[in-house]
Amino acid sequence: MKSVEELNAIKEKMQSITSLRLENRDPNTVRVIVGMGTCGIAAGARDVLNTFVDELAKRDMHFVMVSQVGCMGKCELEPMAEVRMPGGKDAVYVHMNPEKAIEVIEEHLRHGRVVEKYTIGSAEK
Amino acid sequence: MKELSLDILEAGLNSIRAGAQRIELTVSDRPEDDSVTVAVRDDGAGMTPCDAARAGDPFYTTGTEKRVGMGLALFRMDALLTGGSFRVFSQKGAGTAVEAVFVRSSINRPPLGDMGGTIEALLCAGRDVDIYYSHSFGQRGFVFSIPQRGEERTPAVLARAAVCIRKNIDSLYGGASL
Repeated sequence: MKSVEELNAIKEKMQSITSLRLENRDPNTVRVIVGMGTCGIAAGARDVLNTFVDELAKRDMHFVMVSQVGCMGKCELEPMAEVRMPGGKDAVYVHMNPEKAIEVIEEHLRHGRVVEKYTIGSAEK
Repeated sequence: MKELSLDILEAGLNSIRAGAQRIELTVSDRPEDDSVTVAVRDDGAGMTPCDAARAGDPFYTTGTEKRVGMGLALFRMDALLTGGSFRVFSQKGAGTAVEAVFVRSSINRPPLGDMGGTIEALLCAGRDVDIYYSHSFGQRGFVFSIPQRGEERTPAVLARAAVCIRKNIDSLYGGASL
């Protein structure tokens, strides 16, 4: 940090992050919910969760809130991640891994296009 | 579980669900005793002695939503399969401690795995929980703590914590992992 301008820039950036965090309960927030029950953890949900957190931060996509829940009820399809997009399309993705998580970030969260091939609908056909 | 760190994550998430403000994770790797001791202590809601005694039983639960709970049962199984031990100490209103001893050289001992990832996931799940992690290997070790409860934990902070822990473990073991 070398100047006041730089400091202000950091402040502004952090404020935008913080204000978005404060809107957590806002129904208009885009959310990613990762199942972290025992079944999810055993299947690799930790790496999926961390990929979402890290990759969203790298892309400055602070409008997405990542959270965790317990068992999502379909243990054989874990790791699962649900995307809730107010005003857009929701989807539940199954058999997730870090690579698929990045694809979901790019396609669904950034461009609003559901990645059909990973959804619970196509897995249960 | 495939990794010790996943057992630790599971126990840590239990602590968060029990309303803990502070969680202490300890891994004591003692090649001289051929043991690895993993402890998770919290100041959450705690259990009655009767519940604590049966906490490792998959078909015992005080919950009303589900009838089985595999989390601690898997942790217990992982420890007992190596010839080690598993104990739960708890006091209602004071907190819970889970302690698992693994026989280090046993073929059944899971590798430590990604502790950085586990801490990152715990910090993300319990955004207002203080988390302390100490890891010792023989005479050496390190302590990692995030006691800034209530302060902003941005994704970047979480990612840095994970990297920091991975680096510390790498330097402790000289690149080889537990």
